[in-house]
Amino acid sequence: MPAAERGEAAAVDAAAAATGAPALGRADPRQVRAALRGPGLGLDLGAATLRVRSDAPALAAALQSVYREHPLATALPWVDIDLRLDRARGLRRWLRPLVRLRAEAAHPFEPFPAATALPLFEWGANWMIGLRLHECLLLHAGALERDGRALLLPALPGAGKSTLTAALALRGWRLLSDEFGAWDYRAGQFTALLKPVALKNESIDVIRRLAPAAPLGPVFEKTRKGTVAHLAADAQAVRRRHEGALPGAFVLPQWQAGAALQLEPVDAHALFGALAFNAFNYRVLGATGFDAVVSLVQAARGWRLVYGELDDALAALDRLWRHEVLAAPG
Amino acid sequence: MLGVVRDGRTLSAAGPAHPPDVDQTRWAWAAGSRLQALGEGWVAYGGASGETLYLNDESAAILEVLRDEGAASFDAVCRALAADSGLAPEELAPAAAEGWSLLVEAGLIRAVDAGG
Repeated sequence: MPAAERGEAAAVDAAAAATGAPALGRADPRQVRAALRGPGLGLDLGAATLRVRSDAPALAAALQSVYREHPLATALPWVDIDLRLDRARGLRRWLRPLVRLRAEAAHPFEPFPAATALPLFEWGANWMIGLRLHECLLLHAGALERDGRALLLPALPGAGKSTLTAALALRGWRLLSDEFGAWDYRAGQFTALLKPVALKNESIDVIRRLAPAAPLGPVFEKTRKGTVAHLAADAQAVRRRHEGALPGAFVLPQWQAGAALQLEPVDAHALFGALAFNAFNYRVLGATGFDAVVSLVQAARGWRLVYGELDDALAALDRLWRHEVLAAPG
Repeated sequence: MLGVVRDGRTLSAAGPAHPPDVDQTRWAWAAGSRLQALGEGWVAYGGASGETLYLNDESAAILEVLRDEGAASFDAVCRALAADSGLAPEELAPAAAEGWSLLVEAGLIRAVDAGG
């Protein structure tokens, strides 16, 4: 989102708060369904805005659950990503209802069962953000903020990134994103792309055990990624989604069953590769991407975290933050 | 041993160690390229290829000569490296030649003319 429109979006937010525009989770479901069927439902994620329109019956309630603290909006000053999820036509819809994602003029995915409209929306939105949002270097990373500094968790799928991101968010860190470390290289700060944290398979129960009252949305079984559920961002994260964060630390997580905790520094040379080659748009950005990653590696240090127990990892990150990140000069 | 590592892969020079006509041509740092020391190594961005590479010290030294001192022949680069390292240019030449074509392929250096 251009800077001027970002300011305008923040102003719209403030106006919505002043006029009492409801959070999506507390809005009248009829109003949400009408928005989806009509002008579209706007979601201001921080660094990007998104509009979704849909006639899929299951989507409205699911969005109200996992975007519960985002303001209900039907008219945003700027839309970066425009998605439609419509029920598939044809005879098969009577046998097996399907929903189809349209992102602008393309259908990037095969239709999904209608009951799994939310996972399709989430994957489609992430896919479009990765394709379109080149005002930021998009690291594939969980991103959180504390003390004005960002903790980035870059990782390959299966490393436990989302579980750790969710757990930190539930322990008071401000969630910026579960999927994108969005580095605004012009502003020199990380910005939020605030969507729900996508938890898969065993990690859903791990988070339930950690925080029985965690705001989880519906559980979707047998999706293409297994069982999926989404953790909603809390009110503080939504309210502050236009606030940036300076680089604090990069932690490369790796969950291993039964592993003892290890937290070791990563050389800057290796950290460069971990950031650049796992970024969604590094190659698209060319020399700008190279310069952006170099600046990040020079601004904050990296560590490699291997963990078997989530509580151990959380305690280790807390110590790291207090003793290595906040205590570091500059 | 001169080597170039690209996106985690080590590339080896194909064919003879000495690139044809390398000592007859002047070479320049490719416009838009980047070279940066990070921790224990070097990273570079090839302006002509759009590729990112990990470099060892020897490759980075060649690039630094061309970036900081302008276009030069292979022999002139070897002489500059020799002046820095204390080794004889003839001792450096085989190792420098081994990776030269890889730097060209990576878009980090380019031939600018075939003068002396």
